[in-house]
Amino acid sequence: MSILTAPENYELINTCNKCGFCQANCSVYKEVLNEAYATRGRLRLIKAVADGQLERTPLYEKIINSCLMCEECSKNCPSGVQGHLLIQLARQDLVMKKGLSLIKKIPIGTVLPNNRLRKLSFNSARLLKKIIDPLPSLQSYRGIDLKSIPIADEDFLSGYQPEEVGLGKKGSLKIGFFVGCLMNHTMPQVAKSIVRLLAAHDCEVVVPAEQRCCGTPAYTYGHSAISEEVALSNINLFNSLGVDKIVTGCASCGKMLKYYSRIFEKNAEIEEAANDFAGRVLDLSQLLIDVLKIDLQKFALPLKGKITYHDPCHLVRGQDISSQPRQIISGVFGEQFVEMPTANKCCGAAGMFQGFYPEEATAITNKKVASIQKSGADYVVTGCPACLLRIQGSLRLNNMPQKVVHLAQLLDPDSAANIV
Amino acid sequence: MTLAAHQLSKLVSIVGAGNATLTKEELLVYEYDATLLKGDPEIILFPKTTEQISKIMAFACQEGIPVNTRGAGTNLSGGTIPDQGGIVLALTKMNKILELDLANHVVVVEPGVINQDLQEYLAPLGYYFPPDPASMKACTLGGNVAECSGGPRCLKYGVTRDYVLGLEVVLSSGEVVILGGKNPVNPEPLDLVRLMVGSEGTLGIFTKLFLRIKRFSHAKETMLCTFDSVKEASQAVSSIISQGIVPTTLEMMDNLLINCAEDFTHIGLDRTAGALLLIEVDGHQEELADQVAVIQRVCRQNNSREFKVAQSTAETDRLWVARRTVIGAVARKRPSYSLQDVTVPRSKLPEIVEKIVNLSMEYDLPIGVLAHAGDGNLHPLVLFDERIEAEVEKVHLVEEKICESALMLGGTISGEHGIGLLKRPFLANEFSPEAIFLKKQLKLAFDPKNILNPDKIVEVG
Repeated sequence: MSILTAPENYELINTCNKCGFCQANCSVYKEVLNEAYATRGRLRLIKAVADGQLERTPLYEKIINSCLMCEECSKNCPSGVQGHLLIQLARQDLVMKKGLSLIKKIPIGTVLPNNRLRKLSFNSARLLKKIIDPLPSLQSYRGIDLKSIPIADEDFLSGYQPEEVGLGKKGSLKIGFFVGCLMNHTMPQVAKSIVRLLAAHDCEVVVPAEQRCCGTPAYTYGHSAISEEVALSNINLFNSLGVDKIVTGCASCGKMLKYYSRIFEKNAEIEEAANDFAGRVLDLSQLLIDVLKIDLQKFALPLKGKITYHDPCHLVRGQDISSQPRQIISGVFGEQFVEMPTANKCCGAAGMFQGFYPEEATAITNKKVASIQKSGADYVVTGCPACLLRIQGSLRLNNMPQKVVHLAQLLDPDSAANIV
Repeated sequence: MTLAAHQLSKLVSIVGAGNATLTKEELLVYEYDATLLKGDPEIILFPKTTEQISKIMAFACQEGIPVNTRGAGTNLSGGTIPDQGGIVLALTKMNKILELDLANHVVVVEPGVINQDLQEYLAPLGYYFPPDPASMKACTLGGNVAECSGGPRCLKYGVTRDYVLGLEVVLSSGEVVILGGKNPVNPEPLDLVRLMVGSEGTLGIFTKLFLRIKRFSHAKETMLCTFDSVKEASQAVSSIISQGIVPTTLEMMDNLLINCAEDFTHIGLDRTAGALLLIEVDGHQEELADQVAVIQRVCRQNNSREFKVAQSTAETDRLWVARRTVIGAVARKRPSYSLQDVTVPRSKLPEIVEKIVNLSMEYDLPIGVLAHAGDGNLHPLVLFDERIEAEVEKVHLVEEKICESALMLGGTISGEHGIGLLKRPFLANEFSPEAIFLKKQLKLAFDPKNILNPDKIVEVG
């Protein structure tokens, strides 16, 4: 018995009719060209484990864990099989039966959910970077450009002073700002841009310092106890603030926050609060276009050259958001905006995937880099800190000059001046 | 067949450890294709060169090991099922486009190139490869040649056979031959290229394909027309063709499939329509307007409900996604499907559809009807749950009845999906004992030890 054999789950595992169309969209399959890594193959193995035909072997674990969770298969499956959810289920099953490996357990289970430990870890990493950054041999590790991962001296939440950005005043819309770990520690300047931008558009911005990790890493690797715990504390925190909307500039956080309602859909006590919370979550681009309907004409920013846009998986597929960011860029920059080919393919970061499967991740990212080159763009805009760091790092490793910026920076005069 | 350890290690040594696998996990995912059938592979090899395949075949021939060649495994007749064990030869890593000769309209590719990847490579140059099976985004060109794949465009432009100029083939002995080529003799006496196309991996392994490509037509128009019943839609099909118009495409879906397609694509198909026709014509802009007018008139004469001409490329693309994904989309209704590929003379289309509707009621199984209606090729999809044994038995009876009906109406049991294992039991209904004897002799002439996709199409073992 396992969660895989629970009737509602087992039924889902059996919905694949093996047409094989998922091979067309899976970035990992395209690299390895081995059926085991196509969704059809992965589901076959999950079914084999559910049926007791296969043990939870190390190779099985590798096959299940080497999924980007980019949701391409789920969006493109004619039968509507939700491949990424079934793989998440299989990961949950693995955690229940075998536990997480230490290398995942420490960051996912211990550090990220704990605000103090997380801060301590990022600070230690910053000190470590001071030592290794000058060493030529450690410029990149497993295809990850360590050098272009900036760790802020002071994270955004610790140093947040409402007065600094001209805040503290009332606005007609009260916004709870969910910062997200990566933005908080590696790009506080983007978080500041978001606050300034919202304040400039008649919003009262509330930034609770006690906000915790959104739960994406724990959820993604099947550690549902942790993701539920942080979700619940975020729900309680933001629901107590009386905000109209909860806004984030991180694609993965936004997707997860909206998903809180699904996490608790069978829990009568929390369900209502979770729905209340999730119903108010918006990506920054949604807020700007759909709610605030900001006047794009009034932005006169000094950016020269072509600008392209990369769709984060967790925006374009995770939240069905692709037009709002484009409306913003083309609205402000007109014909400077150019599309890159396959803008909506995964960039290869995929959380810890890039560290665990460097060969596949690098190949996938290099395709993104080639797309950027083809577009002729000077700037790449995106709405996800993880994509931003991954793409910026790989551009640098490929000796390409393009700059990757967050959508919010484009609209913030102070920030835009800095990136030119 | 159970391979011995020394046989396995010899095979691994030919392709290298990184391109061979023996793990239980990976054997499990090469046991199936897009049908319900399963086999029992013993080793999966991912060769990268003709030379490696030649060595594999020489060894397999010497030892009598079955070799099941496979591309993307999207085929619908069990052609890639390793039902006698042995080797699965997965050609997915031989995926290079080798040469493009635009002056002669030829492209040379390895067998593992995905059909869609070739289309995307050719499109910016103004060219395309006409065969367009519904699985084109996933399936390989080697598989297209082995199955002689068709697709919606075949009504006007012909099937894969019409686009293969030559092949490099590894024979069962391991010898490498080149048949035809970039500029083949035409017509070749005892045409070996044509013999190879559609041989389903039973005569040789294609390692290089010399394919003919076409320039895009100047313009095209895509139309969508709905009817109250499949019968009226089928009559419209006959009428359109009898007007002397040859559309590139004349596709039909019944109500069940319209609903499946709409569930997946949400493009606003009319869920209450009994049938729809997707019609495309191409050519010079000036002649197209006339053709569209004639088609619209003919449809109206056959009681069409709505007639719509796509107004943008995006609209056309959406209609095509609906058509290409509908086979997969039926799993929304029931988890399993059995797909037939019968073809009847176009004039008999209404009759066979009526028979299928009656079978659906008689056996109480939902059957969706999808048809390349222009050439009388039908894909009835019988929907069921493979875990319910009684249903599976009924499905087999229905499959048999559908094939019988097609043959009775002067048709064939396989339009484009091949025979493989799935249609093999029905072969004797279609071909005379003499013809089947000749097919067996042909197979043995190329593969005397019966190791290449053994006993697919015809049983010789």
